[in-house]
Amino acid sequence: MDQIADRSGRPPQGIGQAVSAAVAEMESDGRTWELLELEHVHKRYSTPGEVIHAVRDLTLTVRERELVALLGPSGSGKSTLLMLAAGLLRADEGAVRFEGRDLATLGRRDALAHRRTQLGFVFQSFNLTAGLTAQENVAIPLLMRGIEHRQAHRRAAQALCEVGLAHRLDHVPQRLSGGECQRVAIARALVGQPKLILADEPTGNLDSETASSVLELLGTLPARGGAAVILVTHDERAAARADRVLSMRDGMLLTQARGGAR
Amino acid sequence: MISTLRTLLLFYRRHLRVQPLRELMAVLGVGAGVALLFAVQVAQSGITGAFDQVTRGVAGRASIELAARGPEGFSVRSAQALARMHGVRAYAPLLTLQAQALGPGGATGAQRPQAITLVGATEQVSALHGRLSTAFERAEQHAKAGFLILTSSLAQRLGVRAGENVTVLIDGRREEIAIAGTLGTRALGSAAGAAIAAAPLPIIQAAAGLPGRVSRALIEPQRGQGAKVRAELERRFGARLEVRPVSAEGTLLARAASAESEVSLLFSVISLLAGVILAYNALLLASGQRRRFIAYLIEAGTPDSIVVASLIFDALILGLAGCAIGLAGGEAISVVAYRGAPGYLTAAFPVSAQHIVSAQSILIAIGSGIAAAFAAAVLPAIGALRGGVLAVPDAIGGSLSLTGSLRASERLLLGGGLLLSGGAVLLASLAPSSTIAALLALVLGIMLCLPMLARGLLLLAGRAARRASDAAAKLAVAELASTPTRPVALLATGVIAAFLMVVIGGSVADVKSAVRSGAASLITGDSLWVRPGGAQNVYTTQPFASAAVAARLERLPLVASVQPWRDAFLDLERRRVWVLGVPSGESEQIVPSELLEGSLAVADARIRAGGWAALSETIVREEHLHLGEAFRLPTPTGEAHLRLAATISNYGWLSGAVVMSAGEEARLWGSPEASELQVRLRRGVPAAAAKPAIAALLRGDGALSVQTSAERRAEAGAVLGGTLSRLNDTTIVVLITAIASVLTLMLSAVWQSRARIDSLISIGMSFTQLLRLIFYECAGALLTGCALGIGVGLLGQYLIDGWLAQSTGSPVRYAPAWQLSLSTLAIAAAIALAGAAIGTARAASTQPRTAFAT
Repeated sequence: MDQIADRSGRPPQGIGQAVSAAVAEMESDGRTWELLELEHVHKRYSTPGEVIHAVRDLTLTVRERELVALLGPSGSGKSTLLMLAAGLLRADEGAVRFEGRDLATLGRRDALAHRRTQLGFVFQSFNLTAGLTAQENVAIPLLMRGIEHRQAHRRAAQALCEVGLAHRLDHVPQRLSGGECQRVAIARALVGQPKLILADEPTGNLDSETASSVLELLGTLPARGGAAVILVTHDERAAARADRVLSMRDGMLLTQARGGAR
Repeated sequence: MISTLRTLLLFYRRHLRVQPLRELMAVLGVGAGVALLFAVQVAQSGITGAFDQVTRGVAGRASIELAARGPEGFSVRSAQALARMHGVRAYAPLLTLQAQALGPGGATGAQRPQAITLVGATEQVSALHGRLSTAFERAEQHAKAGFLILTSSLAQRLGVRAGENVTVLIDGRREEIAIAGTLGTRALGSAAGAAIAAAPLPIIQAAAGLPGRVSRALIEPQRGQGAKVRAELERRFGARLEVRPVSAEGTLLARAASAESEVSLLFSVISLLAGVILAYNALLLASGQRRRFIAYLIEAGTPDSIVVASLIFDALILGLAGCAIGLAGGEAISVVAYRGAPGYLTAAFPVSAQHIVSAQSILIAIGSGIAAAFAAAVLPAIGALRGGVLAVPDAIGGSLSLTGSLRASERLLLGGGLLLSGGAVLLASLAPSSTIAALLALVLGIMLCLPMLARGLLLLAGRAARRASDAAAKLAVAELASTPTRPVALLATGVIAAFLMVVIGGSVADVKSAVRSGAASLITGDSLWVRPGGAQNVYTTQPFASAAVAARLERLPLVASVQPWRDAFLDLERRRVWVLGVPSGESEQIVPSELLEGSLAVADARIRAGGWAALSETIVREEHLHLGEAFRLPTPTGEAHLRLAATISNYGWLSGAVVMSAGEEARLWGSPEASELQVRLRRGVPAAAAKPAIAALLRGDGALSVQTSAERRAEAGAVLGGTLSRLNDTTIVVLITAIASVLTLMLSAVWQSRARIDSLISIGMSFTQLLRLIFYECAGALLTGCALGIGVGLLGQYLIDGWLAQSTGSPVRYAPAWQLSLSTLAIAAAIALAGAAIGTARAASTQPRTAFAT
């Protein structure tokens, strides 16, 4: 946050305003800035009789509007990396910065505000609420932020339109296909206009054809909504749509390659 | 076989690993039910079983007894006449009476008097080969130091040893008797726990002031001569003495305790049913997970026999673990809560509770526990296999339809439940004797209706939440609708817990109030009361040399008058009744509040005139009597011919009461001695102020106590309020079980939806929103269940009161347990809040890892 304030020259009044100011500045000069930085990050889990080193000396930068695909086998540390990036976990060593601000310095309330306003999540098993319609599911993050019912539902409808589900607003998840459920989940991630979307195996529960269309939708997000995307996947096809492809094994980042998207 | 067992164990270990809370709760549910059932049985056998043991131990081979009808006993010469009777193989005269004893500390007032049974016997008792009598007789022969032999537990309670003296308070006198020795469990078995003191017959006769008198004679007829001997005894002594089997008093005791036994059994059966439902809920909660496992087993090609064996094995483990916990818990409850015999029984029978665990009690408890476990474990599994209404999996794909019409099976369930509930209420109202079955049917009926009730409630909640801006409310309703097993389980738990609390607490309070007021209503005005014995003599049935005491009291300037009351117990064929001899100076012979049928004025005049008596409704019903009709009463002076003046309640003695004038009773009992003196004071003299003067005057009489009306009422309330009070312990166990169940259910529910909660935390749900979400999810269903349970509980209380009025003969009046209901609701709300707080804290304190797949 300090860095953002330095660049804009204006004192920050809150994380939301500061971020908006920084975005406005970057858009005005056409440059992209580091959105997320992980610097020499270590994360260990202690279990009885064992210490698991989930992330080892990981350094990574994700730029604004960048689509980064993260590949790797199960247990390689991808999930931990996502939680570190979201501020849901604290690094044992190293620093995790979002728009220059160290997430470790955020209190509980600021961390919650950060997740609500800056991040969007897409989960493998969708994690939609079964008894709510698609529109209600998408409106939930806005209602959590205290946005009034009518406005939240209007914005949810817009988000669903953006992912091609304008005709499915009143459908409950049980009446949607797997691909449609994941699109609802993507709309839920988008509705808060986040800076960064963390997508965790979004195609893991989908058939090949549906997975392709979901990957395609995710691939368009940086361009359409201005959000960067970290896409954790086993699906090699994601590489074709990514700006960068990262590979993890045993908690370490092995390779960084240019993707085929741009 | 071994490999199959190993496979079943493997499956069970997996359930235990995946759902430890569920398994624990299921075991606790079954265990609570078994504990209550077992404790009640042990408590009952502790009283009646102990009495039977002592009776058998004393009587030995004797099968018939001659028993006196009054405390004055009968002449020992009558007993000696038995020696010449044809067909009598052996006989033994006995003098048994209730007294109080003090050890060395008693003189300083440091010790409270202990109720004891004094038994005086001759060496003839050895010929009957009773274990107890033989042991006492042998001890008496060997003892040189003194006279009295005590059971070891009584000696311990009195703090006396052989060679020391014990003070015996008997019929208003104080006697010092030396201790010859004590007998422990080696000689007496479990009867060593009874409060018995034995001595040669002359010693007890002298102590009781009854020289040459005995209270009973035990008779062993020669083989095949029993009927003839009994007929001859009836012919010779039947007019003035009871001729009956030696077990007859045990039967009378069982009858006197039957109301408590029946009510205890009813509540323990309901508690067992509650345990089954709590266990069922626990298993139901995981039915989705269980269903997936069964599907996996079937897909993996596991033979049907193994799947079925797995279900049976689960039930067996649940049953055995539940029984183990239940037996241990029941044992603890019986030792801690049901230790002593109820005061109202010790006042009328020489009984002291012992801890007797019969094989029958254990078998019944284990059998019930295993059956309960099978019902609880197999039913949800069948539901899971068939995909019934209660077994919708927790994942997306199954939810309680809030818009569609009811399925045929749902309609059937609802209709069956409503029919069962309605029929149960109707049945209990029309035939109170069928209340036990009706209440069980009512509970089952309500349970059958719960899924549809949950549907209706969710429909309403869904409508309310649709326009709400509160994400927690929206999510809670949606979550409950999509996992209907959870609201149904929470609803059922709330219903059961509240129902039990209200129905048991409410009806026990009504009975206690009726019994208490029955005895307390006799004690009117600001008088002083003088009588022998302590709280044990609460029914004032011990006569004493009252004439001399009354004369001394009347000489005191502050005394206006002294009225002699003459109460006694009397054995009818099937019950031991309380006979109240009301002094003629009393303004009303029958307490107005206790009159059930007849005119108070007419009955009053008739009782005063003599030849008339009022009888309890239970006796009137049993004898098929009508007002004005003649009946016979077996009294110590022979059979009395009286007429029914009025029908009354039981005055606080559950076996029934008889009211007649004190003069009539003195005539029929052949003794002018009163059992209690009511001292009326001059105008303006308060009882509390006069009490010290009266007590000082009576100090020479030792064992007489002086109480104000308020003290007397308080004592009667405390002793008689003990009637059924042990059932209150049942409510405490139910409450603890319900709290544990609810908390476990809530935490289990939170744990089951970890992935959902983690994803909500990830996307920005705050702590307070999460707390609200879990509270809405759990508290809504739980509190609704409690409200329903309270409603059904109040209805159940009404039905049970009708049954209790009939079975106890007390004027039980329905007083809806509003305060208890509100407390129950408040406790439920507090538990729901606590559960939500614990669940939220637990969910928020862990990393939301389950939301992420990789």
